[in-house]
Amino acid sequence: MKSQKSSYWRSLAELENSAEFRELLEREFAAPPENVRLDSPERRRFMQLMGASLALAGVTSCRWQKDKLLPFSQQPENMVPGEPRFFATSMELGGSANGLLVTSYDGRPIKVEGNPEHPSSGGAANLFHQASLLSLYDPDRSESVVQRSGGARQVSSWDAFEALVKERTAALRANGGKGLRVLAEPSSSPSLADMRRRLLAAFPSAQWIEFSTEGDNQQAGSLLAFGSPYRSHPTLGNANVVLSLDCDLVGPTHPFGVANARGLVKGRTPDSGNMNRLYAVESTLTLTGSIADHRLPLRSELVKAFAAALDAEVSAKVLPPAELGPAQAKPQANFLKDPKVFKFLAVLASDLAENRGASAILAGAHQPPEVHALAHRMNAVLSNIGRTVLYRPELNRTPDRELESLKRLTEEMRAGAVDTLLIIGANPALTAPADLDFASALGKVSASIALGEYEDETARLCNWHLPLAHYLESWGDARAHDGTLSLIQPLILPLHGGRSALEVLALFAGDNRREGLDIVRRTHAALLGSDRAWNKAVHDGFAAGTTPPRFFPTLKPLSALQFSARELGDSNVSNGALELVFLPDSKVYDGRFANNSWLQELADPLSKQSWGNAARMSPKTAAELRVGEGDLVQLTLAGRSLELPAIFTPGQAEGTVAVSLGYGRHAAGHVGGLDEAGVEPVGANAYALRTIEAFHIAPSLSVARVGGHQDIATTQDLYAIDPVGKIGSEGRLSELVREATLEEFKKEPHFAREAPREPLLSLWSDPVSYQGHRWGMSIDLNRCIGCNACVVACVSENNIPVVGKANVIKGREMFWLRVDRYFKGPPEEPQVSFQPIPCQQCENAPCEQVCPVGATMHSHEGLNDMVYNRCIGTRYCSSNCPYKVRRFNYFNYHLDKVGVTPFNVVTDRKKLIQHMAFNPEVTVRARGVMEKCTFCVQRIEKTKIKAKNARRSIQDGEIKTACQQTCPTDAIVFGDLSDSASQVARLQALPRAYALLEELNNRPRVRYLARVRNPHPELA
Amino acid sequence: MAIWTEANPFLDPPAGENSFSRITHNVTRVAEAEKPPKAWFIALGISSTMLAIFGISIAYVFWNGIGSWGNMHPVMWGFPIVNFVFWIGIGHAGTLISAILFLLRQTWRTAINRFAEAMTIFAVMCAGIFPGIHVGRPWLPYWMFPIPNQMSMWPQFRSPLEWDIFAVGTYFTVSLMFWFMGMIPDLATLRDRATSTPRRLIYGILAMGWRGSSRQWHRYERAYLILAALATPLVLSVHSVVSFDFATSQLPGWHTTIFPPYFVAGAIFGGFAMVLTLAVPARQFFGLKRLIAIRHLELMNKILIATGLMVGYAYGMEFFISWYSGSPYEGFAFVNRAFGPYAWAYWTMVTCNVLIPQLHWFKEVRTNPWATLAIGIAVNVGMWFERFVIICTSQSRDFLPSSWGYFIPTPFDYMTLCGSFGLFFTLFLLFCRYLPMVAMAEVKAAHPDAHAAHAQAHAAVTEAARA
Amino acid sequence: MNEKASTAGAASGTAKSHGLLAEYRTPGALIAASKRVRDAGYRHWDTYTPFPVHGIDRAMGIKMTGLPWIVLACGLLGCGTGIWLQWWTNAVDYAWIISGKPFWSLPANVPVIFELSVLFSATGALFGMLALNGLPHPSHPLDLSARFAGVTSDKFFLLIQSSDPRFDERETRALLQETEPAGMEELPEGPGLDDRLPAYWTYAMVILAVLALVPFGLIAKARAEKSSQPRLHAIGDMDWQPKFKAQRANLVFADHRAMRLPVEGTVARGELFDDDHFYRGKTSSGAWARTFPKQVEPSDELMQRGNQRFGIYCTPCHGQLGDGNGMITQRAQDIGQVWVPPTNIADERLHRQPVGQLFNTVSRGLRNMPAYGAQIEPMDRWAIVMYVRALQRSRHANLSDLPEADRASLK
Repeated sequence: MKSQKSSYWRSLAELENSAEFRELLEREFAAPPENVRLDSPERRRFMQLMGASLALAGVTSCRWQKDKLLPFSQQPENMVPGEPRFFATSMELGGSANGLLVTSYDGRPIKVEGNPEHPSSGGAANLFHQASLLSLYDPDRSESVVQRSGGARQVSSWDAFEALVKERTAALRANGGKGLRVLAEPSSSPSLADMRRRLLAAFPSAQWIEFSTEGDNQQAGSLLAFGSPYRSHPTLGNANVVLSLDCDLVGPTHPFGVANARGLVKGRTPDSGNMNRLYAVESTLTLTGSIADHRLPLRSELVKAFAAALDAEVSAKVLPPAELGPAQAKPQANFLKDPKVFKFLAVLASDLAENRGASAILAGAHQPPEVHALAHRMNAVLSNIGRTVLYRPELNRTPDRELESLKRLTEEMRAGAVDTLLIIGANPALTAPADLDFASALGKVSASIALGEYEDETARLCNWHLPLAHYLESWGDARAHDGTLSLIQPLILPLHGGRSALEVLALFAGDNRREGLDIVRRTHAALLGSDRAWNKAVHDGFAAGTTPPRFFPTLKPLSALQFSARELGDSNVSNGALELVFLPDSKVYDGRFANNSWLQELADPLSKQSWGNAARMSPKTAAELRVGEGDLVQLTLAGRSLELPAIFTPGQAEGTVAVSLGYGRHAAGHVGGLDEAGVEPVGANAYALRTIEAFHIAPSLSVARVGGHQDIATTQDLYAIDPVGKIGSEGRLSELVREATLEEFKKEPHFAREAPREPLLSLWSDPVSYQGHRWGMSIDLNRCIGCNACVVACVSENNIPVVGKANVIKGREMFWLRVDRYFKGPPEEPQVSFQPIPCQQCENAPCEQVCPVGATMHSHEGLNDMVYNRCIGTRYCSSNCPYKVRRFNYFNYHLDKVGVTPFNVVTDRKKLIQHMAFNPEVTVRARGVMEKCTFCVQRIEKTKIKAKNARRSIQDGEIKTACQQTCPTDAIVFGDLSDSASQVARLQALPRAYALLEELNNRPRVRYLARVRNPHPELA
Repeated sequence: MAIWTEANPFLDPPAGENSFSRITHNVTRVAEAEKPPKAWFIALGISSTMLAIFGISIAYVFWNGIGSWGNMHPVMWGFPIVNFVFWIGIGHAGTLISAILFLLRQTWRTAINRFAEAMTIFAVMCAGIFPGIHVGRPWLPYWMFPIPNQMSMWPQFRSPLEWDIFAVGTYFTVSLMFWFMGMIPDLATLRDRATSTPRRLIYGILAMGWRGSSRQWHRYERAYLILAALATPLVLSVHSVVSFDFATSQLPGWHTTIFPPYFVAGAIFGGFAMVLTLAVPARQFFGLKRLIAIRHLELMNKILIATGLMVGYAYGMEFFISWYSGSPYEGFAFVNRAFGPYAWAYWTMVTCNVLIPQLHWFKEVRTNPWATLAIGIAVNVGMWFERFVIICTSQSRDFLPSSWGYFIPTPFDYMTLCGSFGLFFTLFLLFCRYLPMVAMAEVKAAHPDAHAAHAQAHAAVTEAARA
Repeated sequence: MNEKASTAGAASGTAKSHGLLAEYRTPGALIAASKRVRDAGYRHWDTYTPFPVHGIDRAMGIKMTGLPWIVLACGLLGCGTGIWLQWWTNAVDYAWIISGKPFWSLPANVPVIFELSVLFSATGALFGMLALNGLPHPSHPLDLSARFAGVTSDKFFLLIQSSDPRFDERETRALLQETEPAGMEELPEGPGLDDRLPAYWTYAMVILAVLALVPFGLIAKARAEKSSQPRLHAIGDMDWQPKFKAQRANLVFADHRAMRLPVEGTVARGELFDDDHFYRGKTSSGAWARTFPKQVEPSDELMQRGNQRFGIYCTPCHGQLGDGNGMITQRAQDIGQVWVPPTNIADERLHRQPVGQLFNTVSRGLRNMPAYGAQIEPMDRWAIVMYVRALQRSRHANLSDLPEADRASLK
């Protein structure tokens, strides 16, 4: 096929104008890849498979494949083929940058990891950062400039677009940019801010609108509290008491999640005796709530009254200086009189008061500004400011409220006052409040330009779509959570000729600098003028010493807050008056990762749901609504309604229903949903219910069963299982996940040590005494926050296939590392435990003795090796594995092909792009073989070779498994047990250490460190 | 001996008739008939269709990957292994009847041993297919055989699956030899009665020039005795080894020392049920009512009760031990069997295997061929479910609740299952049509006339028996 | 029946007789007859029955067969095979660490040993029996007798062969008459198998035999001849994986290289290289450095290293002495190529060049000379430069450069 040889680096114009290229694009869009089909269970699809496989049989050859080597004619300096290099860069999400260290193999990025020196990352990366690599190689990313006129789609070129910009800007210059609007997501990038200034300077009457799905309540709260916008971030490492007001402060969706988790866990080391105490007041069970020592389920709308009451209590105890203004009067709310809440409040207040300057109070992004203001005030009252909560002036954001400006924009658009609209990165057609009907307004704009990675909902409604360069393809900058300047350097030239936002804006602003690199360097000319300084910053990934100095804002007295009946919890919350909370999703965020199959397949840490969202409600509420798990329900809010399955989440506040955003997309791609390709959307689109009034928290929700049931693809049992199973699993929980309170731990440090039953005795003596390395791992359940970052890291490192929804429902997910989630206690106030389960690398591995062909056996370093090539797939090993960590390739998942492994060269361009995401150092498993966690043996071997060449021994901590490397809380530690000084050996020697199911005498090499909770004595 | 005297009048020669020739004629006429009964054609039509389904489903699964079946995580084995164990079990009755009853001098076995052995062969063929096709890479199962190769790769002999290879392989070979050797004299009979050259040639080659020389008979009987003596421990070992697949692993519900005897008993139980399922129609359609007498059915039904009770005992004992072991995992595994999501399967098993066979306590039931047939089928169903319960239920819920799951078979699972029956019945029908269904020589040898030399003694015995 | 017998007898007059065949109605009669024949001392005789007749062995005086011993031998062989096979494969030839068990632990091996013992014994039993009975035995004179066909149904026969030393036409016949046979006939010597086979059967056999050879022929052919194509490989499994190893092809890119050049201006970890002197041979002012960077301490090892690297990378063109007369140059001149001869390193101009500039030339190349930056470590480049300096020095050396001691040796 000629078209598939069509080059990327030939001049784009030529390429884009060639007919074959267009025809190719069309075709590529037309045909969904087979993995989509593989998933679908129904008969018709099976027939398709048959067809496909037969076709396949046609093109394959039975000869051994020849392999070409293509070296550079002139190898660049310092680049050895097959030798990975590492580049520091950053990824911005939610207005904060996380420093990354990206592995580049032969000049291609193949793995994203945290940058150890970076203040936000500290070496960790969350699941979004990890998975962003797959997005880079997403074959659905848009490949060319597209022009739409009258619904007709036509592939265009950058030249054509530049021409348009020329004539447009000429006209705009005349009227000072009246009618020019830029819609962008809020960003911390100095260069972007600089570009904005230049643009607005060139077009004085143009406007720059910021809009994000997480909203700007934070900023508004700071305005309320201090009179001017400040950015704040906690340093939880110094806090003894932390209170989350409906804020998932360690969750992946929190912009500072990684840094917060690191800080919080720093103060939770029972072995050294210092344990901070975490309180969570939240409507929906979050990661923060699950690791909290005390959690109060409370409807989100009640948090405001709760905060006010707390302010009253705390101020009463602390007696703050007068300039901080009067405390709130304690609201006369009935729910506060509920003994449980009352006691909680009292104890919390005293605990906070006792820890002045060493406590932190954080409010959730979806809580109203008042709550944020109260949080700021209480932090001031408790003199935490400058100690556990740091402030800095807001440099980038526009002062006006997002929703208002967006509303104004849509009105202007309707009125035809906007002739040129440039949308950068955002996808308002999907995410804007439903009552604005942004989509229809778009039609009124004569020149609407969408700059995005995908040809998404918005792009399809604009006249122009420009391919946005992925952050791994472009130069840029952003600020870390503490304000440190972080730099973004590209790992590869844009695969699809995309351009960064800076470059496109430069076009409009008529800037003389057009290249991303020049633009960014100019921004920092003052600070990083010299090549040396600049290179150093690029090399490090951030500019050292750019962290803003500590800054003490002055609190302005807060006027008495008003409360509606609902906010006081007086009105009833029966069906029709239920509370609905919109939350960013733990996997697809606001929908931007909807086409990322790693994330889609990932299970939500708490509901364990993959491939889709659901209406989360407490079992009690569900019972009142007569809704069963998996039943299809219709959520109706102010005339707008949405159908999706219900799922039980224990710990959910009564009367609250939570839905996560970002699903139900029709133009995401072949993974997340694409209408023209016949790929149904994954999940349901909750934006359809979101309005300006009900943007975060909505009252008056009514839920109705519409009949019908939907299989929820969960990787672990749903909450509702049969009584026998429930009893059975609860019975053994205390053995599997061992926990104690701090008091118990101090009394009986070895509480976790003794096995529940005598271990079986071995008939045999070991055939080998493991001299040399004895690889082992310790997993600290006290540090694990269940954030799933390790799982995605493992997927990315080990080429783990994605199996799709239907196969997940069958229970065929392939993740080598899973994070088990268990609930204990009553469904109203459950205790949540997380337990990451990799292969336990048993020394007496039960899997080995049952394999008839010796496909799994033990290495002399005690690793339980899996020999893929030798495996014939009897699946006996998995049957005999007590931990069920072995995964089986029921199909050729990776090749998106059915049938026996094909031997024809892959020529499909989109597949080739996909395949670039594979780690070349790990086997890509074919159908019919078993696979499992290897302790990242490829990393072990690499380091061993390096050490051997240098004639030195391996340092402790030199080898990091992928999961360990990315863990924000260092819960996972890997190392050599035969070196008694190694960290892992010391951890496994701790009294808290225990082995899972050790009574089976498997002698696992993984040890878990029991979890210790720190309840307040009066609440315990 | 005694049995024969009471047996059926047909074998006591009417005046002027030679009973040996009657036996010969009676058995051979099935093989020599111009065209078999219509029922035979209908049955063959059905079974060969099922056989075709078998082929198609296997081909499809081979091409697409065994994900086409319902196998999942944690139920990694599912139907294929259930079918494997089921068929192996069926086989056992054949060897048992021919070998063990032979050693015990139970001469009534001669009426049924031939096609009981045939059943063994065909059942083991069905069983043997499954381990081959159930593996993830069905083009590689030969790696389980100790064949020297450039990968310097040997099988791993600590694996019960490896033991299976040898046990099942041996079992098939020995059964085949036993069966064929028993057939040599009868094949000679067919050869000598053959009218057309092809028949004479084919039967002639198979009979290898057997002419009934007494010197040959002497060695023949010796060899037969030895084979019987070898087959007896073999048949017991084979199902024990199959049970090791489960007994030697750690999975709660598998990790059970009672398995070997329990499996053997179950195998005999299911096997006899299958013999009955086949014998009743066979005697009906091929007019062997007088060779396979009600008496024989009744005897087998009694064995059915006995083995059924053993199996029932095993079910009970499993529960006791799991409680007695003190391991919560073991305990739960069995509670979960009886009351968990798969309770339906468990109670089907108990009903079919323990309750229904009790009907045989009533003489009118166990002497009624059609009741016998019905109960036989019920037991077959029950025995299939026993394997399903052991494999799928145990796997679906093991140690860590996080990895629990529920196995749901796909259409291909059912196709493969019923297809294997197609293979079995097709082979069996062909056997009935073209090979001596009853061991003529043995029947003759057991006949009173064969003992003219001891006519007196024999008569005395008869008297005793009558009295 | 009698006349039938007589006709047979008549026939026997012409053809050579195989023996006398007598038929009996009941097993009892046969046993009685056998006793007579046995007592008469015949040895080449046998009886034929549709089923094993109880008590005939004694009546005929048949001795116990040795079959059980054969079976025992086979069983022991099977047992030994089982032990040896498992011990050799799992404990010796390829010893694995399996579930922390010893390489050789008998219990796990018992089932296979048992099965193999049974398998071997059973095989021995069947084939031993066949062998001892001389089966298969296609053709026999008995087959000529029309009556004998009934032997597999309900007839009982006794045959005394003429080969028996005591066989005598008249006496033997008389002896048999006394046993009151139901009938008697004289068997002619039977013809061979070939006459009794239909022609098409023979052809079929031949054709089959030939066809059976074909595969072997093909294999032999394949082994003998060379094939230009790569070998047949039916199922790829994991032999070709959809990942891109070092320097592999990827059709996505115009140059079809999966390997991409790093983006201009990016800085990889550990590749800051901000020491201009060491990495670029320049001073802070940007001029060529006249001194070696501080990392490079002159030492014997370093000089040796430089010598060695020079030998590897430079001599092909510049020659051992650096006078620009390397192998390649010579070859180029031999074949009369248009060839710009490499610079003579000892050349005065180069001698005056600062070390930094030499370093730069090695790293970046000059005119025809390619850049060696990618192949030679910086430290090694400096070592080469140092060696080059030494070369230059040696080319321009005079006696005074030598230490006193060595001067004598030149004189």
